[in-house]
Amino acid sequence: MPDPGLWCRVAALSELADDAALPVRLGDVPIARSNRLNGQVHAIDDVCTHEFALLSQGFVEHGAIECPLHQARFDIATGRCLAPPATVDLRRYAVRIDGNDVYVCARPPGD
Amino acid sequence: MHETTIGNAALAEHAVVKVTRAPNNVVVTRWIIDAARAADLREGGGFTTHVDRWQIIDFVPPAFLRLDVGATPTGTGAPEGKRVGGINMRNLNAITPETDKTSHYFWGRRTTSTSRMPSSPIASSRQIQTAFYEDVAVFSAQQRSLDLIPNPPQLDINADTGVIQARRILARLHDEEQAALHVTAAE
Repeated sequence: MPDPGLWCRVAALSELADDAALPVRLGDVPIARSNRLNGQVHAIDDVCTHEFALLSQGFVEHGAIECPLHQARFDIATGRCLAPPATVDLRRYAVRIDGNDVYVCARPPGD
Repeated sequence: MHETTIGNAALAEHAVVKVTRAPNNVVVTRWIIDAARAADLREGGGFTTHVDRWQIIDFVPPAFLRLDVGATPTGTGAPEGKRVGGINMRNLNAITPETDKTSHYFWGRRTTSTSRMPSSPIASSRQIQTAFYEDVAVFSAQQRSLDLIPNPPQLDINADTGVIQARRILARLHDEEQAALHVTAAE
């Protein structure tokens, strides 16, 4: 995991869609992915907290992301777990937009 | 599994897969851009260069799979909808139970080719049949395993997303059908 104070460019703003999550990497270890929701860009962990499934291959509906395998659901803006079988919230990452570039930082938003 | 016909390393390792769903529909879309051509494209499509290749699998319950598969020479705009100078095959697969462990698998296929070299329908059909019989070998082996260990623990991976969504639709439809039967019986 990169230095929590280090901002990493992960995507172009034009690559993001409202109805899908873009898988990106933050360093070589955890996977943070970004998606655009109502004009806001959010970055949360890409691995479901239930089992190892990539949420970026799941379904973005009504402000939530659904795990493609066992249907756990998470709020995209807050990372909060909304539906089982997962019980643990997703980690969130700070996001900064600079022109068409999306930067993510290995610390929660607001820190 | 199909490395002598419709498959190759490019398809297995580099395809970008997207699954979309509706209440009674699942679509799995797979794209491989600028990839080496598989055997079926060399022999059936006459390709001599890398290709942009697509596989679009459209599931409609109870067990219909409509396939739109094909390839064009790479860089000719296939991802943007331009299917020029390539080959396109449309399949309809219709599956219905025979016994509790076997199924009838009906399929039909239409192929169009706009490549400069003529395609060989017989060679192409032979490759599809070979691939299907390879599938039968795998299904048969799976059934033997299930016969030995009924209801084994299941490990799901992301590649199972399309199948999982299709099974959820079938489970829901089954429950709805059963509920309707109970209402009818009670009346």
